[in-house]
Amino acid sequence: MKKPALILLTLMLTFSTLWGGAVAMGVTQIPHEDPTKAENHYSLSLPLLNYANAISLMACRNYSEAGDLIQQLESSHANLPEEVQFVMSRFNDLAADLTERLDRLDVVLDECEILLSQNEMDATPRKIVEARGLVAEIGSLIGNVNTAMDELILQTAPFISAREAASVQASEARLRESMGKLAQLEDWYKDLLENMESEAGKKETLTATTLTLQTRSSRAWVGESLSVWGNLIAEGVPLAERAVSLHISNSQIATVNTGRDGYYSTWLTLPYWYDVDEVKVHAFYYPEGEDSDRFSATSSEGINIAVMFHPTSVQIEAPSKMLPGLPSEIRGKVNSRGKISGRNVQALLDEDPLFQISTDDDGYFSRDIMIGEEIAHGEHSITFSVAPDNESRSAGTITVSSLDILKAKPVVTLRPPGTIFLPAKLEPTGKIFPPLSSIARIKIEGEVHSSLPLNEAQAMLEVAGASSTSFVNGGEFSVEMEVPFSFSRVGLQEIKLRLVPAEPWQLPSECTTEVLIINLAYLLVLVVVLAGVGVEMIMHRPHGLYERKDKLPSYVEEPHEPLREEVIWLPEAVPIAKENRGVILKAYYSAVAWIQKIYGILLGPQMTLRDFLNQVSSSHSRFAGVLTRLTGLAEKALYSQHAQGEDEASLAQDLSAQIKKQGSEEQKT
Amino acid sequence: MLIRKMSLMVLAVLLMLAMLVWFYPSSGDFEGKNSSWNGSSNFLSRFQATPLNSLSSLPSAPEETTLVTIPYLEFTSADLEILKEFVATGGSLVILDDFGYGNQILKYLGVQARFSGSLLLDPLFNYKNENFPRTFTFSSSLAEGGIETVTFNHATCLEGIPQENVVAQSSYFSFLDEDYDGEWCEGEVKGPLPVIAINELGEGRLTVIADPSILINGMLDMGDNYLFLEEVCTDKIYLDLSHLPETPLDKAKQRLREIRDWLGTIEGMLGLIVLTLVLTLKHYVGLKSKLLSQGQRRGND
Repeated sequence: MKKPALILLTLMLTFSTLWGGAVAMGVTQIPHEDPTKAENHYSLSLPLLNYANAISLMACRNYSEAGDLIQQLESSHANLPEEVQFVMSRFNDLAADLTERLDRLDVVLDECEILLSQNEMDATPRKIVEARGLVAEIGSLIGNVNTAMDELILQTAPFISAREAASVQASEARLRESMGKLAQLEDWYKDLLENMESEAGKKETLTATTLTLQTRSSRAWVGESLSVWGNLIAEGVPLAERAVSLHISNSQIATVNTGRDGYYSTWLTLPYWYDVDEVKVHAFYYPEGEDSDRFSATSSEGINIAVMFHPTSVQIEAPSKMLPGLPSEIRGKVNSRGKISGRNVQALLDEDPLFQISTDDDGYFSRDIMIGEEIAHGEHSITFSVAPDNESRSAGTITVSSLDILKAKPVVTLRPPGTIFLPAKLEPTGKIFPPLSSIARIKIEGEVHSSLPLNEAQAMLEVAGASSTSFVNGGEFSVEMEVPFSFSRVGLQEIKLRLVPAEPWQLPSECTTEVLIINLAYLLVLVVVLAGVGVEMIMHRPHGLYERKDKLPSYVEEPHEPLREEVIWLPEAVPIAKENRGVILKAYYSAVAWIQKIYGILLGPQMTLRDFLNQVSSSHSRFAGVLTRLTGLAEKALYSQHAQGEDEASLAQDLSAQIKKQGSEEQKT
Repeated sequence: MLIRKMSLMVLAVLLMLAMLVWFYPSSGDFEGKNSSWNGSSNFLSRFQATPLNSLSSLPSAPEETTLVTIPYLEFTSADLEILKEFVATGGSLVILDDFGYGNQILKYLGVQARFSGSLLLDPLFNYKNENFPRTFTFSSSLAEGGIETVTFNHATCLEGIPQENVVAQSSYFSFLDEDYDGEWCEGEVKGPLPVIAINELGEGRLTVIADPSILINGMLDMGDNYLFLEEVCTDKIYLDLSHLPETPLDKAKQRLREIRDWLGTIEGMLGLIVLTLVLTLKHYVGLKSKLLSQGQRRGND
């Protein structure tokens, strides 16, 4: 018994080892790692190097890219030590501020340059003052950025790994170099500003000019030509043959030359601007050529002109709710004091074109539309835009109406049978496996309700892995399907009905319920197995006769001689020539079996032959004498070393026969 | 006698093995029943997602349905057709991939987008190290949803995406480590690079994400990963597990399931009955013949 246990233990150990291997092999080659076990390390040279790049970009006056780069270095998401992050954040703020000021200074200096070139001596000094202020701020900011840079380098030092030391050192050197270039830029701006101030000083000696602008009307229609005129004078002297440019609301509309008396006049056509009520007209004079060294630039006072046009409106009669797939009419009328016939109306459903139409003579339009089924249900909008008509000076208009696309969700209820039995029907298939096709035909009844018409909806029924499709209409319905047999289909099973309506205004719907499936074959198998087990148990029950000897300790523990292996079992003795012992035992067993069968007295596993004799004698005394003699012979056959004679064998057979005979007679009576 | 005992022992060990395999929790990557760092059990439970072992189980009316797929196994043409139909009829398909078969789906769907297939590293904006790049540049719609950062785990990037479809980009400092040396080298593409894109396709929507690991248990709560997935995975959610590589343990579990299913068939059940009967009868017949032979031996003695 030790050997099998050892084998079992070995097997289990082997199995455990294999199991460990199998689980370890469970780790596939998916490219990812456990974040909690990942190694943490910083990259410190990268921010320093990129700050150096950003400062270099600033030094090259590429402020937009420098600003973008600094924005990218926003430190809150960076994987860096907190101390470094804090200084980086401060450095970022200062650098961003510096970039913004430098950019602004560039713009202001450009404006100064233009004003100076145009001899705009009224506006130039203000711009120069602004630029001077910016240069001072920039000087202060560069100092602060330098301090922050030193602090940043100081803070990063403790976290630099040996591997990164060289690259960090190179980045630091690059950053310091960039800061040097930035200081040079500051000097360059200072020089530029000084030059401009010097030039502005020179131009203050130019002759001042005056420009006037007049018009007859303070209002005009869109597209109407407006008469304007004025004079250009330099210290009381008219300036002849000089170009005057006319602007409407900052857009240059016309250019006209002055006459000999400095007078100019022209017609300005008001643009078709329907989105403004008023425009401002200005006249400008910019000295050109030799005039640049003689006269300053000037502009006229602005004149406000009220803009006139015919407002347009549109009235829409459109359904607020629509069903996809069903036609609906949209009507409308364009109202305007200008032209209303032939006006172009465009309709957009959300952002997609819906239709385009022209109005009739009375400004009406109508259109039948049908929304496709692909549209999602819910709130949508229809935008109607009427194009402006410049000929009649009629403005355009836009109006938006909301549209609710309706889709109904049918409500499905199922009334399945309480129980389904499997298999309900057997059909030969002619195949080797499975030899029979067995199914259960089930009928499911139910109801479908929808607030909108529903016809020929596709109903997909799924039960226990099987499915079938049929078509149902609104109201009551009945669906039949065949459920193929499988032993795994047993117990409560889900029934699912999916409804896919044909109408575009209906939404798909589904309903789920449960049904009890009783698998008769499964039950049959269970009964067979249980019966088999029962039979097996019964077959092995009479241990007293057919069981192993080791279950009869009293039988073997009181031997007159040492127990031999052969007597462990109670063999069915076979009469063989010269084998009287077997004949005796067979006769005894035959009698015992017969008593057991007739009287139900069992030779239990713990009983000796003598115990059995006592039990039989106490309840059936008529057998006592015969059975005592037979038991004596059987004991002798079992335990004695001496061979039994033929007479004893014959006697045993007679005694056994007597017992059976007596018993049978008693049964008959 | 020894053979009989050995047979019983082997049978016992086999049964133990089967039970252990059956009940031992799955350790496969992205497995829905795997609750360790690389599983997707949290995603399934928190999003109430339904795991799919076959794409054919997808609902026939995919409106208001999101399918999340991690294509680490090649798709059959039937599966590709199911995906195409799913998107065309209103479903929302979310493809999470880095080095798998995502491009096979994208090609079949006829979109220009592709997964780069090179490793995306970010030495500055990361979680712990450059293999966990963090992105914090999002489209206005995602930013308005409160998403500030999404953390990846050994990701790649997207290519061929129209700018208007890009909803998240890696940082300026990220790069594609094409030679896998962990450092940026001359010629390697630098950030910002698109990592998430959303595209309207047919009646449905296609979301392409350059790293499937954002939904594993160990990454789901990192940064705003959960919030982001909530934005793209809406309504009824299905997680496709049918295109994930199987571990030996998963394979063993699958074999056991197949055996169980086979035993549920007529052939299987009949076979089992016959086997039981044969073994029982053999045992009985064997015992009987043994008794007879012992009796004979005794007789001879």
